[in-house]
Amino acid sequence: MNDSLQEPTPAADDQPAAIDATKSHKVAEYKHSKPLTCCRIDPTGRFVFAGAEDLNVYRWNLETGRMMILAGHNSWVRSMDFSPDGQTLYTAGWDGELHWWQTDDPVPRSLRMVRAHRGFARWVRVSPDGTLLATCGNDNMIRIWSAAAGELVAEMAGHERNPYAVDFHPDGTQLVSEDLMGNVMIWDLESFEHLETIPTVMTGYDTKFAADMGGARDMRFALDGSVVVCAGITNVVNSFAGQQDPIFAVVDWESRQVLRHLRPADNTAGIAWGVRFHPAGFIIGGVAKQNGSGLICFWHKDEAVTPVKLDKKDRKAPDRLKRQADKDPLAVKPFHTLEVNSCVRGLALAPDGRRLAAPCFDGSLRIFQMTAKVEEEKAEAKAGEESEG
Amino acid sequence: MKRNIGCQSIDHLLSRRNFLAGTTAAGFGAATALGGFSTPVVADTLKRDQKRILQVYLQGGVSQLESWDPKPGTEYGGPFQTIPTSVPGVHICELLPETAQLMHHLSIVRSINLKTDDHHQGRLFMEKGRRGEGNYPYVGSVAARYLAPEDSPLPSYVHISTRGLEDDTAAFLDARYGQMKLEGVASPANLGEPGQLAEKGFSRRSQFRQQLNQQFTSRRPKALVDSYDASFRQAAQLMARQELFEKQSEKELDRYGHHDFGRFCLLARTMLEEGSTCVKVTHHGYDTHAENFNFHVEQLGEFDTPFATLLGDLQQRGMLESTLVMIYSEFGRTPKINHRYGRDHWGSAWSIALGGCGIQPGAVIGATNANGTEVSDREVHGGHLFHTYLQALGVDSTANHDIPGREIPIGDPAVESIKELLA
Repeated sequence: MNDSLQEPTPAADDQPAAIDATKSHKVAEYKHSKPLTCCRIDPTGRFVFAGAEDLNVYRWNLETGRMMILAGHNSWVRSMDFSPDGQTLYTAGWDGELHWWQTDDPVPRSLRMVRAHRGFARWVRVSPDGTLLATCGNDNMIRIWSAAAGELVAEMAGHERNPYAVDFHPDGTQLVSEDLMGNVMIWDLESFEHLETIPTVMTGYDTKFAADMGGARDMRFALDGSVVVCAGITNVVNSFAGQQDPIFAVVDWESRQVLRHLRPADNTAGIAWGVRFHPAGFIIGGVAKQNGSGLICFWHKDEAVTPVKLDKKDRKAPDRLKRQADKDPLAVKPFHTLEVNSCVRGLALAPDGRRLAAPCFDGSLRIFQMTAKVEEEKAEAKAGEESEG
Repeated sequence: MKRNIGCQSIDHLLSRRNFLAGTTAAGFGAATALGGFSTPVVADTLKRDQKRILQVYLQGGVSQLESWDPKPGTEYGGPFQTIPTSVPGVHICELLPETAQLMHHLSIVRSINLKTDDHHQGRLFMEKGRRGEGNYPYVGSVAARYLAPEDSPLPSYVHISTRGLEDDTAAFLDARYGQMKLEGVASPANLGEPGQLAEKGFSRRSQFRQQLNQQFTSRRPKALVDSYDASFRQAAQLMARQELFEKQSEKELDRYGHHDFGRFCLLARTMLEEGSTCVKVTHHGYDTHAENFNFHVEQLGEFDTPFATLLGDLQQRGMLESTLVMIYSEFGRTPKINHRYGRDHWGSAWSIALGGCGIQPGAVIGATNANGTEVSDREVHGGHLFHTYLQALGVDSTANHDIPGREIPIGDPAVESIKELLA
């Protein structure tokens, strides 16, 4: 399911500060000893969960900062999602396993495990009504499971290379998946048949090393289902050294065309690992840069979904040019960028739309607030007054 | 130096007369006479007795943690699981399921420390058995020198790859023992006869060249002319065997895989069957400073089926007992995982696999510590391995190369073979 988001609250003297991405700032940092791989904030906004380069999932209480360990996987956890009511957490790991957990279990334990895929289970998503789970893995299969019983409902074959991520359309009738070759496949959830494939530039063949690199590292539908954004890479130069460009491809659901490519402000090398739509009208992207630092970029949604008017030359632009950030006729630059001291490997939004979590390579789970600092200052001042009183 | 009796016996078993009787009539010069072992007895004898090497070089440095020495659940173990193999108690990475079923034909050395993290230096050490840039021949050239029949029907040391450096692999050995590079499975350029030159004319031209060579040699160092002559001989050998590069069997490719590495492995089998002494196949793409895990899924996924198919075919055809199989790199990869999900160069504690001729099957030699950062038992390096390769083939690696005017130890005299690995 999509992060449960409420409409942002307007600013007023007696209200918290308004959402303003340009004022985003770090408000908390939870430390773990191993690099983090993914994270999510539960729909109640009480906990943040993260996977790491070890066998556990970590749960931090956002109010107290208390951490609990969810042990059960036999490899790293790559992806997680919640039931719409927030009571159940689902995790998918590189062990091929899919686990069920009670979100607020005082002593967290795996409630159910199914072996979802041979090889990595790369992704798990919950359907909008909460009844189905979709997973994809290294056996090139997309599988649909019942959320209540963990039974296999359907499996869908068609990807010739590893699918990296999936997402449900908000109307619940179709599913998208993207593979290593940058092919976005659309599946019907009534017949479980493949409907269409949309090629993107999110792949590349490294001629020096004779290998392909690509695929979605995150996929998100807009809340209204009008577009889906795929985060990943393009312009492979030397992917074995991490020399390729991060990209967020915006795919129009009606026309089934790639509308725009969201790019970082500078032509930095790296990988796009996370994307979220914010109800206030912007898109957030997380990037791990080749040099070890990270970026969180903000693009205006209106700009990101507006088809670009291509001149004759650009219409004929080969994919080769669309891969290069400075020559890409579809490129959209962010209106704001937040520098992060470590690679950003995912993104999660809090249900109030104010906080943003980023799991990082240095083991830190960074929490940012997308408002001016005033709110905190007010709160601190108020707390000070109360304690003095 | 001491020659391997088994190897030498090929010269006794196969008289030149028999050899010639069993060949096709097409071709030129020596290559004409030796083109193809169409007599089953001859072919069977060769398959059984001619000792050979199959080198599978995983270029860039395959990760030992994602292949032969997995450590799941440990600090640097990475995300993969282990799987059992056909050898009880021996587990390897889940990325090699088909190879795992044939581990009773292979052994693993898990304790290599080259003390270098440099591609070039690591490669030279693994190929020459000596550290540094010294002018020593590669193991493939040494094998060609001491194992290839005098009238080898094909270039004795062949390297199948789509790219790579042109090395002087023969060093001070005769140029005919140098590596001949094949750019994939395509027929080498200009392999056909010159368009306007009839067979007879081509033959006369070759004779004329040899006559000029003799005159030229009388006043100059012989080695130089031999070097040129070796090139002509190798070309002639291949010209006589163009069919080796014709379309590969679809049925066989269904088994091996239709991608480059599948085709290379199938060609390697053919070249070994047809008389090459050392066939090296390079599989590129293991220098995974970024996305180590995804790339190992891709690369070892591509490696596993063709390699296991080739190994199985060698075994089924009775060739494995006489073929040393090496799966190796220039080094391994760091236990520590970097910020790009990559592993960097690591020559300090890594693994290779060996099998076939002269190798104890199903053994695991040496060990690394719990998190894979250092060798904890039976540390070896390229020098030990070099002796082991040659002694497995019956070549006395402690003897000297008999070069006019000097004697040069074949293997590094300071180290020995891994004796417990030898059958």
